[in-house]
Amino acid sequence: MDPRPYLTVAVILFLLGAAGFLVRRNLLVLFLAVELMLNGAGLALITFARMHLSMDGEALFFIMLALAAAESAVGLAMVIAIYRNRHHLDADKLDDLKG
Amino acid sequence: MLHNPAIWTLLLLAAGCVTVLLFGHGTALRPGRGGAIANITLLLVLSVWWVHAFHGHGEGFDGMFLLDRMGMLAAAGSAFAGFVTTVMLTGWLRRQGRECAEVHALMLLAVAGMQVMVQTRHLAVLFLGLETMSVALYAMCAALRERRAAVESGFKYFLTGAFASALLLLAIAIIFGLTGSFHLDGAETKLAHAGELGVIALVLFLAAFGFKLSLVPFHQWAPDVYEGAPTPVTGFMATAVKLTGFMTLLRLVPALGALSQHLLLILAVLAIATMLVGNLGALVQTRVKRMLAYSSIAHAGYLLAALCVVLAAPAGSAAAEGASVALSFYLVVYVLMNLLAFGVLALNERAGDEPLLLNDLAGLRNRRPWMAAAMLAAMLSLAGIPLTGGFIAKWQVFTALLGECGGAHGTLMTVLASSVALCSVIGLAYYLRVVMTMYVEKGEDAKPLPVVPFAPMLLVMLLAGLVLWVGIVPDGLALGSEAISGFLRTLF
Amino acid sequence: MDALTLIPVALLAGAALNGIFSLASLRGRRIPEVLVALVAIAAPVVALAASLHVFGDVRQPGVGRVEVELFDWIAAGNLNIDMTLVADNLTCVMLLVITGIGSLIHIYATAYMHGDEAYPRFFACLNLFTFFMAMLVLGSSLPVLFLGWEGVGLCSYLLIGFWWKDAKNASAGMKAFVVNRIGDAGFLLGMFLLWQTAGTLEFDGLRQFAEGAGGAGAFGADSGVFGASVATLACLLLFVGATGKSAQIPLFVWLPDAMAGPTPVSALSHAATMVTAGVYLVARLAFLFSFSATALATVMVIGGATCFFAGLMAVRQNDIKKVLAYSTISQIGYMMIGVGTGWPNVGLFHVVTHAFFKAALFLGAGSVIHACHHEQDMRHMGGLVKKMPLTAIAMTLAAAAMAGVPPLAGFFSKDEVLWRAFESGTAAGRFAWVCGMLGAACTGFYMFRLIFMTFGGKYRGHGEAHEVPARMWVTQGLLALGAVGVGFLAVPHILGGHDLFGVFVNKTLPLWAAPAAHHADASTEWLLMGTSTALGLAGIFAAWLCYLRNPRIPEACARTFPRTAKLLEGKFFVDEAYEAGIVRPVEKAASGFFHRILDRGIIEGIVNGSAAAATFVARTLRHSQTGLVRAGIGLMLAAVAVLLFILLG
Repeated sequence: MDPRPYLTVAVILFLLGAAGFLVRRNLLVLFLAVELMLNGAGLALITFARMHLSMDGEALFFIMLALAAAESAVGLAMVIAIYRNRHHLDADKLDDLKG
Repeated sequence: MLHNPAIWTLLLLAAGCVTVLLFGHGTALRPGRGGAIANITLLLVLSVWWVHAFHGHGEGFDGMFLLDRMGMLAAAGSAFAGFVTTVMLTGWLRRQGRECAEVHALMLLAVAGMQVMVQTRHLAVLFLGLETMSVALYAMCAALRERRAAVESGFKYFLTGAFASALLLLAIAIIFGLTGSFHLDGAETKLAHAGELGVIALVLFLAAFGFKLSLVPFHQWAPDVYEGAPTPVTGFMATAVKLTGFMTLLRLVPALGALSQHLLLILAVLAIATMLVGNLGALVQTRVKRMLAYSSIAHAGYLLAALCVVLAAPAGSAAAEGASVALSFYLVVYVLMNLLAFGVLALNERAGDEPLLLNDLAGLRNRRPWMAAAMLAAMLSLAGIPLTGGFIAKWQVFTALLGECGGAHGTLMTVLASSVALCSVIGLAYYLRVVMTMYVEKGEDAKPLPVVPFAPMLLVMLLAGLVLWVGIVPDGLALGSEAISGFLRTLF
Repeated sequence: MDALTLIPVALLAGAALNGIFSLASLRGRRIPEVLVALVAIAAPVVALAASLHVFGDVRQPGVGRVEVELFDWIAAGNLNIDMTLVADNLTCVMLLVITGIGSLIHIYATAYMHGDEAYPRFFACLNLFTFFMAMLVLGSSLPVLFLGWEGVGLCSYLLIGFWWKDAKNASAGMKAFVVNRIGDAGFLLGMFLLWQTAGTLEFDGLRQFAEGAGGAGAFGADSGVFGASVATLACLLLFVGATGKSAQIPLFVWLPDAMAGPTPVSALSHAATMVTAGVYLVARLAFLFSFSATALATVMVIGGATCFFAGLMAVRQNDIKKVLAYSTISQIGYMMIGVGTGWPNVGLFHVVTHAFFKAALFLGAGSVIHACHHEQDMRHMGGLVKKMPLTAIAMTLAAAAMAGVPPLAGFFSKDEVLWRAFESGTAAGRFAWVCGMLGAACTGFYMFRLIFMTFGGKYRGHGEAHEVPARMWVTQGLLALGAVGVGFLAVPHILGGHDLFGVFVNKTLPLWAAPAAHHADASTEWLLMGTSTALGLAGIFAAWLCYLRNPRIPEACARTFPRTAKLLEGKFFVDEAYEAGIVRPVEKAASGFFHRILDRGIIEGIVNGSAAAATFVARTLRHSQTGLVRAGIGLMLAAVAVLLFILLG
């Protein structure tokens, strides 16, 4: 199996996510960007697992899925709390704390 | 497998967490018991560690879990920090008019994550532990969800943390791709020939850990998050997270070192930048909590300098051993003195959103002589003034650095040692400013301080005593815990 | 428990008991003053008795030293430090001074502090102070000494802070703190160097190492710093510590300001005991200093310069305690000359005599201040001899002793210091001798200026002055008697004596620099003795002329030589010079370039230049902390990119 195409997709996903962080301001989109990055890394994991013919990579991928779900739960709760406090979801206006 | 205390502590923590969520919520008539349950759980965990502290080495779960003194020290330390924080948090939340049992449950989860993290060299397990800890901490930061600052702090932590997790996951994936296993034992030779992919993994790894340990330039979240979070939680983040983070890094350093021969140089540059930015940042703060946040960044720099010595000394040599002992000692003292400082801070904060300014501490000497004395001990120790634990710790790191000055990386060590010295002098300025404010300024027009409950105050005095005791009898902690361990073993 | 352990234990117990009383009184419990006073006095008196016992033991032929190991203190790696108490002849002398004079001062203080609201707290601190001072001299190694060293420092801040009311005193405390930290830095570095060289910090171990086969080689080796040998570097670093604690040039600026505390504190800490710690340190490490002629010469030169300049500064002070403060600095200069000559016993003897007359003077000054309703300015005193004759007699005797009037104590001790300095024959010795001679004239002048302004002439103050309670004049009287008599312990051979003190002390201290041949004969010694006495008497006569006979002279002088007068009044403007030379330029540059970046905070003011730079950078950095999540993450990404670029590119 040639892992290169899969890895290329993984890297593209990861970099897309990272770029999303830099260019977007909406909190929900930032959120999606994180998921994109995590999935990019996940794809790399699965690819390597196939390459080594080992189940460990897939196992970690499932753990990651569960953790990402937990993270989303906490993160979305905070997004809601922020919207209640401020009535907007603009990351760049989130700067009460600085200095 | 059941001989492994790790499993017991994790089961205890999980059971405690569930119990808190089930029975911890109070009613309007009866206050919640979440804090009490969490405290009992953490005390049990601590005693499990104490029983095993000086006995037993080994592995569990197919070598995924590792039982050694370093891990036990970190695990027990994080449980201790969790205990102190829970006591502080109970009183603090009550003063804010809140009873949130879920915070105590989250605390137990975070401690559980830490226990996992420090006792493994298996990357998948490491990731699991790290994420358990982080997710719990994100939620704890935003515990008071109606407050703007708290939620902002929580979300900043969450976003940066999730980003760092993604980096870490990619790094783990690459290492897995290179070696075909998540086990780091014996992977050094494979990693040494990893080439460019290995370097990428290393850099991603450092970025992720740099975030957790708030090393410059991965530190920007830290002051904001520390400031917005509930003060006892800030104390917990500043102490337990750093403790576990550094212990984990210390464990991984040999494997990481194989990835690039420039690791030492990178760490040294990070250490110097961290010390400088942390100390300079603290210098201009008027809000005490933010100042302590920067101070904890600065201390991360000193700790990293100690880690550099471990890396610079020939592997397995007495010097490397001594340096890791110095690092562990510094960590222990660091945990004690920061718990103390944040504890005092938490006790002096009024209800509501407004931050505690330096001026609010004016004349504390007359208003609260014991509290002022405790804060004095914390500040002197953080500043590294003799007869406090902080001095002994810094001195050990400094000697370790000087000891390596003649070694293979002499120049780097000399530069590090002089930065430690220089930064400590900068540090004096802001720590002593707190002391001066408490002891010299009159503070007649300062705002009234809240009533202090008994248990947290007792704990603060105990911590102050410990900080001084370590400074006067450096062996005291080890001797004391050995004695307690012996006593507990006779009980069980 | 043996007598040696009893000394610190008794003092610590006193401090603890009074601490408990203090806590109880904070809680609103009323503790009778008598009880506090009894505990406070009992502690040093018991310690004195124990010291006498130890002294008896040590004096027995063939004993020489008593040693008790209490517990292992620090055991880290190859550094092993025991908490061991050692008493040899040198320690005994210091112990007797500390506990003896300490007891008297405690007794005095119980009357002086009568009615103060924090009575128990004061005595808790005072007992603790004495405890740390005892630890300082009892310690068998440098770290234990350092423990006491820091302890006395801490207690003296607590005691100065006892009456901290305004910001001026607060900044005085800060000055003392910073200056002493500079000294500590020197001490610690010196200690570190010694440990690296000899592998031990025990005095005995160090001495054995020094006298052993490799000792001379190891200590004589080039340290790599300005070509100084290891011994020179270590001694000079430790001497930096000594100048800090003992208020010598250039670290003396804190002592006069530290007179803000209650007068018994000044007597105990800033005159009789604490400030002599530096002298003790040099004497204790005599074997080490013997390796370095440079270090000894430095000690003498610094001592001599301090002796003269501080003497001059005392001449135009009007605050009675400030005069005594500068005189203390000046007299410690003599002690430093003494230990620097290579005959530490002469320096130590001056420590002993000085403890007596300076304690008497301080207690007397306390009585005067007490009697004049807390007036410290001598221009508002005068004529007090009629109101308080007993205090007047005691203080005059003590002043005469300090001025070196034969056959009072100061005459013997000062004369011997000057004689040894002259005899050493080196350039540094001659310099110190000249300074000491000039200092003697100053001493006579400023001491009797104090006496005449306070007790002579007419009363110029407000309110009715009165004699102090018996407990106060009795103690100062006893001390004055000591100042008269203690000199006979060391009558030099030329006057037909046997120098009992020197013989006793030198059993412990090696006479490393004993000159092979006498450079000067007996007639020279007589001549020198006569000259220094004459100079002292001339100073007294001048004071009489200026302040009793014709009080217009000083004003006339000041008008004729306005610059000189101003220089003296301004204490040579050392404080101002520090200010103008270091603080101001930095401030100016800072405000000029960076629009008043320098904070007016206390710390920044003192740490000056570096603080300005640091604060500037910090302020700039602060703007980089925008609080935006994306900025933080962007920085992380940028760092990752840079690292990858460097490592891969």
